[in-house]
Amino acid sequence: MAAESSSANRLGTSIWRDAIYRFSVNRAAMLSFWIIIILTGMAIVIPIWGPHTLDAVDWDRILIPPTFENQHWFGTDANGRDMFVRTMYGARISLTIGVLTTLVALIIGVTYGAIAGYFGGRVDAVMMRMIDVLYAVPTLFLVIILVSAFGNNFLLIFISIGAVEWMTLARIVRGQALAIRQKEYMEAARALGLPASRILMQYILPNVIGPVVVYVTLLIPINIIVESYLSFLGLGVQEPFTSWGRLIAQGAAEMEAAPWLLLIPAAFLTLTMFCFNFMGDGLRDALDPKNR
Amino acid sequence: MPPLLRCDDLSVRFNVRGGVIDAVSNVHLAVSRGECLGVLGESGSGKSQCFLAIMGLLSGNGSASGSVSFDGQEILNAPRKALDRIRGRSIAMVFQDAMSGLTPFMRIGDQLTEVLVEHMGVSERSARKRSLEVLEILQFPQPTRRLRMYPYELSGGMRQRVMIALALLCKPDLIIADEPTTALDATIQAQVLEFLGGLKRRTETSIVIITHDFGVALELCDRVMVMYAGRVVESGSIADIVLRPQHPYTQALFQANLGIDADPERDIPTIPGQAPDLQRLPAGCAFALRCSQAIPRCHQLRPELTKRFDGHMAACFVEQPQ
Repeated sequence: MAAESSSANRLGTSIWRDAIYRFSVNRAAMLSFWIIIILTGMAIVIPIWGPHTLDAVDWDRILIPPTFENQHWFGTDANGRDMFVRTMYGARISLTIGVLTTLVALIIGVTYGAIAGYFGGRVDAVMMRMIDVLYAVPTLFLVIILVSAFGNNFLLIFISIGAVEWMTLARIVRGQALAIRQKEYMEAARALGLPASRILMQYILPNVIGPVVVYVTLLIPINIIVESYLSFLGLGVQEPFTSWGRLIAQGAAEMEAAPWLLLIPAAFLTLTMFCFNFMGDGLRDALDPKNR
Repeated sequence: MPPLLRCDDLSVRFNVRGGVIDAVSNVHLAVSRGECLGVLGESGSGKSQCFLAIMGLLSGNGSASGSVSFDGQEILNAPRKALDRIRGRSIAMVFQDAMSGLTPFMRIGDQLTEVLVEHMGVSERSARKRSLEVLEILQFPQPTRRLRMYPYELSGGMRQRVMIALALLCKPDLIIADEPTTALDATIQAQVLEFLGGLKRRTETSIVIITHDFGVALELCDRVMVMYAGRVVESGSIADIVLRPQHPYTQALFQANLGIDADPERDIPTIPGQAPDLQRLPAGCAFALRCSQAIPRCHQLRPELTKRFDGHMAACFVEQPQ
């Protein structure tokens, strides 16, 4: 009752403002949101102003467990480098790659899907069969080929991951566009003589944004994982730079002697996954038209 | 003076699994300037598809043949660019379902101004002014405030008026209204009809009203065309259609329409049977199976649309009193 009257009082409330309100009352999603924000802030700040630098070697304290001694809060690795700074630097790389690859996937996927869905018929059939073929190629296989063909370049890593992950997005957008095409307002738009480009931009895209935003929050962690297993395989970021995947790989090698080298980056990776997934859940509930 | 809209031998076909559907067959019609044509018929009689074809809005599996000229220009199956210059500007369409006729993610104001900017090339500001003007004509409550709203914040009646406003923005020569009042409650229905009637009188706008409601046709139309199973079965002036209908279907349709003074105790008169399957039309008259006056010939031959008296055509073998 209360919610109903308050929404009636809000003048000209947009669907987005409504969604933001619904998201903000979702505790798990909000907590996740703040954790991601804090983590991002730390990933930016710590490698610059942290107690140690990324590749400074502390000769007296090699492979020590987490301690307050000389501010090695997360301990040090086999080379005596501070794990706290390295984990935060890993966050920097992993989050950046997660976001940028998703951006690449987003641009390719949404454009491709919207065009296929809007034009439908033969255009759609050809475009979607191409995706089916590409889908059949294992993601990891494709990324490995791309990375080994173009070398270990930070930029190329996320372009190649993004270039592989866009297909699901294209399918989601295409499905939505196909459904929206049947709506009467699409017919009305055509009856009003609006050109196809305008219909695509103003009628189709805003309507697909809901599911796309949700999928994006799920795609970011997927891409972080892809990067981490690329790094685990030695195809990702190179020394002295590091990412969570690389840290986990190195930690796994010393698992029995120094479990914290594995556990700390793994915990951060898991926490990030959880947070993005909770945020995705929250966004889905907030943007679900059925709740409106 | 040649008619504004002229349609010769218009047929619409749909390819479906298991064959083709002849949704509209050999329709001839003409609408003059300032005239209001009513298109009557039950669901599936092809009345909507006929005008969607004229507007070039058939769905992908549909195809139209024949000829449609608007203001002397052939528009049937014209390229999209040519159609986009006419649609929304010279011919506007009002759709039946106000609930889903507006895109949910755009403010009302933006949806209105967009059309003006697209067709008239006017500035955003004068487009906004014109939108307000039209909404005020439509007696839209608090238009300035509501321009900032999204469709879901408006009632059905308000949305329908926005749809009508969209159609009126560019001062079109022809408005095609596909059941414009079906989704509205009775008071708003009356307002909308009154408005359309006023529009017809004040400006020389031609109106086509597609409806299954005799009352709506009576209110507005000069001429009426009755469709059944994709064909025109009768056409004539509204007075003749009401006073001396020549086709048993028109008579039955008129009887099935309840007046305000209808006896609540009496059963509502209905037309027995169902509309025929358009994929398996009988050889004879499509209405013969439901017709109380059918003679054996009706089941073998299809009656052509013939002139009954001045300005009145009907497709029936049975002679009716004139």
